[in-house]
Amino acid sequence: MDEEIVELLAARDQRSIELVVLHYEKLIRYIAVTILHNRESSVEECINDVYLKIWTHGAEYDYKKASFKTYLKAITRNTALNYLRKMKRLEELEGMDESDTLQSEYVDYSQNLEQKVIYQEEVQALNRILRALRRKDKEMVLRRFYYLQSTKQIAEAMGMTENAVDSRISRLRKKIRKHYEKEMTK
Amino acid sequence: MSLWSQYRLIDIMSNIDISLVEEEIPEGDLDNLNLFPEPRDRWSRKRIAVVSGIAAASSLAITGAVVLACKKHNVFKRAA
Repeated sequence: MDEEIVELLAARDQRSIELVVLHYEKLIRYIAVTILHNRESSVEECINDVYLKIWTHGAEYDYKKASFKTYLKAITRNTALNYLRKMKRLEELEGMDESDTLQSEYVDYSQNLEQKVIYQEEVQALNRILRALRRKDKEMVLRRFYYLQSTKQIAEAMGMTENAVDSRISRLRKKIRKHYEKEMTK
Repeated sequence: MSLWSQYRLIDIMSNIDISLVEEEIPEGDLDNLNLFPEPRDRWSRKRIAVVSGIAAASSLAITGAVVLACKKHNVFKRAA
């Protein structure tokens, strides 16, 4: 099915987007809603933006490296995060009650020029750190810091208590930080 | 200076190797309705309920005050 979508995208056939909507809308919405927390208009805009990006660039991705679905997840995550940044800039998050979320305290580092210089090195370091993690730990890190899921969501999805998730994430954060600083001082 | 923070981590995650995201996360969550986050809009259900409650209570109080004032000044008897 993914191959069919990619072929249709390459042929600029609109049925490709119809197929994406049919098979992946629920997944796209879930990722967007988790990051944007059901702010309806932003979620809808974000989803439309994802479809537009798929339509525009969908045929250009390297599908030997990852599947269409994986690119779709990454595009959705990054698009939703961009919307969150925009909202943060517009101070729309001000005064919102969002306990237990990273979203409410999220600081946009992407605009800091000084930080951008070392960005690529940091990405490479993080790639190595994530590859070295155990499968379950990696899943937890991805859920928390990639998909911005709440402790409650992670606990439910992974069959753990919220306390257990909290303490494990805290340990993982320290572990990543230790490895990260070690890598960056090499 | 430590460059690391969890928010920085979120940003760096935007550019991690795509193959690291290949796993079946969060596809496995889609059948579990408990995993969908609760609405947290500016006008959440709770807030709408509180505002509606205040509006209803104030309109009742105003109506009560008007009725009392009318009774005090025998408006109903005069009208009859």
